[in-house]
Amino acid sequence: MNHSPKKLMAGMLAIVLMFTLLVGCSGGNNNTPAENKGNTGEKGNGGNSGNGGNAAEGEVYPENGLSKTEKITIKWGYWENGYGRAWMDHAVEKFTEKYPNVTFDITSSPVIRDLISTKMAAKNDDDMFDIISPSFNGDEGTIAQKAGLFEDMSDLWERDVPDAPGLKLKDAVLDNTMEYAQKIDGKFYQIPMGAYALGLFYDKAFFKEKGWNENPKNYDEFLALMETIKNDGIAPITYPGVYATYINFAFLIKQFELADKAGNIEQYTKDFRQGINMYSAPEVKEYWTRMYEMGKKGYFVEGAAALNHTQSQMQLLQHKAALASTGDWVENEMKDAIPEGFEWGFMAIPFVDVTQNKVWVENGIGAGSLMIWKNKPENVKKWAKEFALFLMTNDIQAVNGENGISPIRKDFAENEANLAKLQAAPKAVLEYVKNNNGQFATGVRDVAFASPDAAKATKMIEELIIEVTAGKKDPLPVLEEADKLMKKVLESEK
Amino acid sequence: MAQIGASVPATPKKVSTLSKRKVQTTIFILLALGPSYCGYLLFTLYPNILSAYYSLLEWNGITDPKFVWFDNYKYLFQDEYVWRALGHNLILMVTVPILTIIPSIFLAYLLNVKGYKESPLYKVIYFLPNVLAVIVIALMWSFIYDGSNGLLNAILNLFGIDNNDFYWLGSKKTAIWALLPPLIWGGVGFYVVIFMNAMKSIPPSLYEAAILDGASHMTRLRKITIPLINPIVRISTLFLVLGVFKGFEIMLIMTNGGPAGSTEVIGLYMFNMAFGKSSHNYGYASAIGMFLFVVLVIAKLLIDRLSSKDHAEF
Repeated sequence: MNHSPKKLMAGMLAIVLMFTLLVGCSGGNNNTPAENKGNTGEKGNGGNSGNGGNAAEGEVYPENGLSKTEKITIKWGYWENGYGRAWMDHAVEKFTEKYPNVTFDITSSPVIRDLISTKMAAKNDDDMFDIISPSFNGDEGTIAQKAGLFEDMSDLWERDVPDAPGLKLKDAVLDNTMEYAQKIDGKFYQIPMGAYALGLFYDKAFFKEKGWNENPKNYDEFLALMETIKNDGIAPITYPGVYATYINFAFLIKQFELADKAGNIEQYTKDFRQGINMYSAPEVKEYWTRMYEMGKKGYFVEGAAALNHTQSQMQLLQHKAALASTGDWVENEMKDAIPEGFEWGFMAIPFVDVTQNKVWVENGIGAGSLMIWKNKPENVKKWAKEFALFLMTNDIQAVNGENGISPIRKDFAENEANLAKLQAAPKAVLEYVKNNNGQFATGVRDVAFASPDAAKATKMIEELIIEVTAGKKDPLPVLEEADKLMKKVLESEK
Repeated sequence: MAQIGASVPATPKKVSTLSKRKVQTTIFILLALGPSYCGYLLFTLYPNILSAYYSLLEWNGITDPKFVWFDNYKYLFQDEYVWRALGHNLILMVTVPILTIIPSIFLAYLLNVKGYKESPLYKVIYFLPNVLAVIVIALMWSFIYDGSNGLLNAILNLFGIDNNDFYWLGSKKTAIWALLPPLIWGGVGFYVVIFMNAMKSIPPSLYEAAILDGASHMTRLRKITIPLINPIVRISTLFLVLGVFKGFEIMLIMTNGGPAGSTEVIGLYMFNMAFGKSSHNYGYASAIGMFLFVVLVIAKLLIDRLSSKDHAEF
């Protein structure tokens, strides 16, 4: 027997390669729902059920027919973003108080989406969270929804909201909610539970002190405001150039305002959602051109490219910039740094020439929406849906409002007394929309493209932002180049 | 016969002893090497082999992968962002090793030869950045470069230089150069310690003889110290070049490749292609990774070939 080191190494290599092959091949695609493995679906008496919630009569909750004795644990991958986690802790507490057989196993992180992506790629249903939220959105979320990885939640629209028997969810929410919420091939994979608004936030007290126009009614008045602020030695608009797309929070929706003015809003919205003429529509060119003109006049903060979003928002709080392009979570996110006397104000850029036109404001219906992983036991999915519906009760909506998430229950949001409980930043948005013939709309697309060409086009555009806001680069040639790439992408997808 | 008979039982005993020793050696080798070997194969080699396979796919990590053969590689060679990123890598590969190794040698020589009482303290101070997390270094330097509240502008103001709250990371002209100090500051201490230990192995008699011959510090450094620690310098340069080429953490945190791509390096581009906000192309990112691997191997061979292998012996 000759155990030369060379032979030994070769032997070890063979063994380990076989082992790695086994490991690599064992994950597999689980196309069948994951079985309950201890964490879900146990009967109170200790027996396994996984039976989709069937239970003897008298042991079920009358409002939903789900078992009272079956122990359920819902694994939640929670994205801890600008709204914090207080609203989530409250919702879980109230839900488990009402349904003591249900518990939550929560993994909370500001970067939970990275974890979810990895779990998705691993295709291990057991390891995946049962529910993820808020809004695992963006291109990746769209691709995953289109691939059918999440549970269709469309049926919830026809359910009664838990605190108002007889009132269907679709009738309980604000007008246009169903229209704005993201649909993939006509199905809802997330049911809205709140809304966020995007645009320019400012300090009302500072504006008053400086005597600046807080409510420019048309584009000329807005430009005049920019000039006044600049002449007072303050940067008019700040945004975080490290994540340059934040500037879109103030500009992206303006293409709809222009389309509306041209009487073309219906077709435009359809095209937008399908990614058609993404960079070549005249409305897109127009808003980029205006951004460029503003850049040339020095209306964006110098050195924006070096700012992350905290630094950018600090500029607003420290009055180094007059307006910040961000979302209404800003108040909650910066609550520890807001100076005394700061009063939240909001404005959108009025692209219109006359005051009668609508001023469009981007809002996202679906802030905090749950998505349910499809390959999970039926009983877990049913309880997850119950939880999604529970988030639409007014008690929950009220606490969400206190944490910055705008409620979308009609009977809550339209009640002045309830609105008074909201945080100041979302309240400022509602006030602006009310006083300025505001029109909420969403910039969500129903498609996403994963090819290198699409990534390249996106990169071109993202890099363009810095140069355009600095007034250093005409956006039109780059838009044309990006458009060529996107045409190629759309052609290849046919 | 008796002699033969007496020698017969001795042979199997000897064989048995030898065999036992071999088995023991084998078990020892297996126990000593096995765990780390398995770890290497499982966590390094296996993912790399998989990555080579992924580079032939069009795959977003969610939907079913599509086999596209070498399309990703063809696209890579036509992708101007790849070449732009490689250009930035080249700048860093040339500047960072030189600006790290030279001060490290000087500092190590100073601490070694001068024999200051506080030498161990200086060693700790220089080494300190190495125990800090990259994110701490990156954030600290971001604050230093901040336009309105940054330390750098404050120091310049002290000397009467008003640069109008210039954001060092916000300009395409300065951003890449502003990345050099954190990259160098984070590395010098480590190499000071390495070179100091290498210098300690040089016999003092060589320096004594040189001093008797009237050699200055610079002459001693050039003629004795550097030649004698040349292999260590060479390997340090190699580590630095390869590390700088692969690394992107500082850029990711400080600039995310901006402004307008002016600090994007190949590793960051690869990362954003796979895990970026608007791109999830694992296939293309893997192809960039494979390309990076080839470039690193070439860089290693070039350094080996071009760097002087001469070193004096003592």
